[in-house]
Amino acid sequence: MRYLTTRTGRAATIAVAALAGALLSALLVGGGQSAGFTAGRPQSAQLPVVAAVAGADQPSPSARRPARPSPAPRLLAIPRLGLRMPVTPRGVDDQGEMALPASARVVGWYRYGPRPLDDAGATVLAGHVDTDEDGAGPLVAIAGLREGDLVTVRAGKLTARYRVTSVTRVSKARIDLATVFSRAGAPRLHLVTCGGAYLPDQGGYQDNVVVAAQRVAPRAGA
Amino acid sequence: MRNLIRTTVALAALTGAGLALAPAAQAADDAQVSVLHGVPGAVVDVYVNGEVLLTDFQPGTLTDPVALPAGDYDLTVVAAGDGADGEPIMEADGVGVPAGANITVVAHLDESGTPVLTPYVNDTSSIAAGQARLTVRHDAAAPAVDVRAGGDPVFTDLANPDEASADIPAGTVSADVVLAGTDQVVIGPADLDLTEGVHTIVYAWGSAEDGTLDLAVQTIGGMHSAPSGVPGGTGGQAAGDAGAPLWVIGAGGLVAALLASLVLPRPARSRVK
Repeated sequence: MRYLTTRTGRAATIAVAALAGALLSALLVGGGQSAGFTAGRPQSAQLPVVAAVAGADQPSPSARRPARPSPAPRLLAIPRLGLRMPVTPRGVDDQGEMALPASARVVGWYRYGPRPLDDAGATVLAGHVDTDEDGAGPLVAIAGLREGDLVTVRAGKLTARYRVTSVTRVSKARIDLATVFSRAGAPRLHLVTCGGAYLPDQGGYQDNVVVAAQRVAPRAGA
Repeated sequence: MRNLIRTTVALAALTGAGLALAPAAQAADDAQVSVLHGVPGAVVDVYVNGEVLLTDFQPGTLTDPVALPAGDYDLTVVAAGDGADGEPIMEADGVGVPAGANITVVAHLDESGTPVLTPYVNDTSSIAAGQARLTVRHDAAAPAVDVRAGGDPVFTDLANPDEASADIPAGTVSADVVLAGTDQVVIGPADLDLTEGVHTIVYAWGSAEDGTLDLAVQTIGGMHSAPSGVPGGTGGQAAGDAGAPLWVIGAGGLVAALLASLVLPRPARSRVK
């Protein structure tokens, strides 16, 4: 929660939500595995057999996850800023940090985390605020977002709509990455870039700018 | 190897309605126990402490995990319909289930083809961002094997009932099993979808002599971690850009951030660039 240094009331609200999310995820990780016992349990105390895990030609139990993941994000738009940026999937780099597109004009989506239309968790979009080649990119403007601003993310044929709840600048040394990349809790968007002082001999920008936004109309068209 | 961990499953046994309530009632330190049937051709019933746990349990099937209090449990496996007093095909008494552990009990053949019960503790420690955990368990009546991914050995000389494990980059790998030290494929190849933050456990089971070797796969999720940072900018042009004030930050937060930046030493980043 450390990175949420916004208004106290909202911070408290978010803290509660985060706590609830953590509890929920704990339940899902722990008790959730047993949830299959509560419904449709066969007569007697019989354990349901969840998956035939036979041969190489059989689907593994991992196929029990939603067969088709929701679509990946591909376009970020922030109408008030006139910002439109393509989104591309990214994982981690060889330092264990989130890998970002080389260009400051493209946003990376953390592809191991939630997708915009998923039922829970933070979709993380992150990009360089500037690069030597591009100069300052569009994301330099997100630090000027205000609470309630609309952010949309196109995923497949649908567009997830978000309202900004906080804009925070926090030292990279102290950012709560587990919260930024949380896969639990209400569906939301975390838009991340860099800010603060630029110290080339200390890894460049010293801070991250994090825009948090809650999803308001999860599957509205256009 | 049954004394390996001594397992258990007390569960349900006792349950009737108890089971349905188990998820809500389970203590934080309950163990999670799954059961895998890896004995070819035998349809069985499984009893725990004399109470039936599973009936008509088919080879190649895996149960959902169930929460069990820590303790010692007696397991008996009989031919389907033989009842609690039937001649055991396999049994394990006093199997200890440690608090908080995630365990899979495997009914399988030992190297010589005798049915045995082996409890394994599943590693649920966190997995680095971008990585997946792969474990292979040799539960087949077969000699020692090597496990290969994309043709390269990842685990070598694995013998029944041992296991080998590694955290590797997430993704799909083509895996096969060969006799140790040879190129003679005995199982596979099979595509394994190694999901990020998930522990994928592959069991080799069956009998080489009878031509019933097969793979079973179990996955345990929820161990993912966040990346170690978001690098965010490489040019420096945006620094000090007065056009982008953080209006949204509350005054209190801004003051706190300023204080923090003044008071707290800013450690030089230790990672190697």
